[in-house]
Amino acid sequence: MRLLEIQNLTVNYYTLTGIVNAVDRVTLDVGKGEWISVVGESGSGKSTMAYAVIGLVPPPGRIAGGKIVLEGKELTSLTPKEMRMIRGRDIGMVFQDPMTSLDPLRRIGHQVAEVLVEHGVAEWDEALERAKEMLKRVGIPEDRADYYPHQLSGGQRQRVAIAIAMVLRPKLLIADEPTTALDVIVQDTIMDLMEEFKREGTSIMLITHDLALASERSDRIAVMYAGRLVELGPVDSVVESPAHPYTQMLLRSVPDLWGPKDIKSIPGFPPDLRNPPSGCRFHPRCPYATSKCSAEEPSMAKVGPQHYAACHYAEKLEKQG
Amino acid sequence: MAETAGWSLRNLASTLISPLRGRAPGIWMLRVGLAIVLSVVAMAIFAPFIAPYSPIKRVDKGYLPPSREHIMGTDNLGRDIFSRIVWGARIILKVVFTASALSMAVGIPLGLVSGYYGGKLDRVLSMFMDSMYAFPALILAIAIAAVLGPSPTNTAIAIAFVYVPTYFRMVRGQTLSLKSQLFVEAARAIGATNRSIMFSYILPNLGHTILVVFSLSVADAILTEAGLSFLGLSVTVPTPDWGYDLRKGQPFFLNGYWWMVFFPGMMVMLLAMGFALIGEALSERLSTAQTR
Repeated sequence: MRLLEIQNLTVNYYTLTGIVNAVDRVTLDVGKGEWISVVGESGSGKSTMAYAVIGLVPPPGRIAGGKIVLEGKELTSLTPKEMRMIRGRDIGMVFQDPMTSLDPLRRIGHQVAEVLVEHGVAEWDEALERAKEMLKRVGIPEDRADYYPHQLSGGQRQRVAIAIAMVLRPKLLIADEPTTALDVIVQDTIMDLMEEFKREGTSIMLITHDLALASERSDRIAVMYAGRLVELGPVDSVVESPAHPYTQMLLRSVPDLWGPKDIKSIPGFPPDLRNPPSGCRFHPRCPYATSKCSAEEPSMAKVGPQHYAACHYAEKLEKQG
Repeated sequence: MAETAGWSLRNLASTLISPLRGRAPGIWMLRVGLAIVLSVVAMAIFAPFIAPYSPIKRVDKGYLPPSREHIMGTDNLGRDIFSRIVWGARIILKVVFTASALSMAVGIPLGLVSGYYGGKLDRVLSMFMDSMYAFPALILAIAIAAVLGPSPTNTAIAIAFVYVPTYFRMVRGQTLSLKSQLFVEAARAIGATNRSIMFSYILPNLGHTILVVFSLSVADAILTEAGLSFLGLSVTVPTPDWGYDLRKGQPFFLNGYWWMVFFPGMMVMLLAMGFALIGEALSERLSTAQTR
């Protein structure tokens, strides 16, 4: 059994101007101790999917269909109270901006200890001790437990955020663009830290728009476009022989120091999800699109070992590279 | 934990004192305001030692102008006005602080719950509070005080009613903006309960807002209290009270006995100004000026 199984997950935002179909029938799984990276551009639904897993889709959004199963437990049918106990204990989450994800008025040690207290694991005295240990574990010296967030650098704050997410040793860590607000060097140390937890058995779901970052440490990559999962497979396989035209174009739009000098951007814009394109959602921007693409929705098809893509011509395209 | 507490206490003290140093613009407002308020508070606390005479007994001839024996003169019944002013500080501060504490005790939790949960509850509460807010403060207070009958406690309750919507609206508004902050989202992600999000994440971040609303509404409440006792809806004779003394001196003003009106009126104005200055200075520094 996989640790996390997302089946046909659909999330909609019910706005005044229409229903935005942010995540459309996504099926994805995460194994124990696996690092999976979900990539896609802004508005592809990757963050919404992550929020759905932890049960915090912001209103007016709602899970409209599908299942999220964590270790055999169906999360979408839990009561709010049961879901609250899952958060922090079974699933930890790290947010994009460490500048605002910590409470500005409370010492970092207290913020880590709070998790233990909220979950009834320890009383304050013991919780604060354990918080210090946890801070040390993520590389914040013990004597800084009394610091306020504003006294720390961005990288240190993100370490604190990771300490908060990991203090109860959840089985799954969801990191929503955890390094976007940080410079490249700090980015790397944060990724190192996450990798350490992965080696200790935590599964990681990294949400990012940075393909390079995703390909560095992940076991598998999931590519999302306009709310649909378009490609899923082992990193090497996806990066070296991408099967979906979107993935191919995405890879070609990433500058590479040693590769070809020309960067090709993807023409057009992501579609309006209140009224997504018929058939394959990528067809208006796809150079290989045929009449079949606008009429028929492609399903995920196997293109290699554990490698799937949602394109009618995936096999053909994969060979072309 | 003891060390942490000591450290934070020292920290708190320096946080409170540091705004008094330096040359920030508007700092004079804070200094003047604090000076006024603290001297009136000291006057109220040490009234028995400061007041030279009994405030409720005839101590000399009536209608005496300010002199060495009676620095603010005497009133028509021969009571020392300065002594009445000193003792009167007790009444007005007691009423106003009790009223503020009551308004806060009701307005802040309601504002938090309303802003945090939103929905129908929020709409009903907001509508109710807005309709209370629409009444002119003094009229509403008069109506309530008239129903409850004259006594300092009842005055405090009447004034408390008036300022509940002020706290409610401010807290609700700030809660609305704070609840969408990432750190609140992050608190949800660790499985924090709604109650602990409201009271240990959002409420502490409202501290400075509440402080500003407090000083400004106290300034306003002083005028309301004086107004109520001017109309005879607060204390009963012979309790010394600024607003009541002001009223009592009024008929004699045109006969040239200006001191019977001037000093009580001045004190009301000074104290209200003191709180208003503190409120303005704080709101300028904390840039959360959205109060009436």
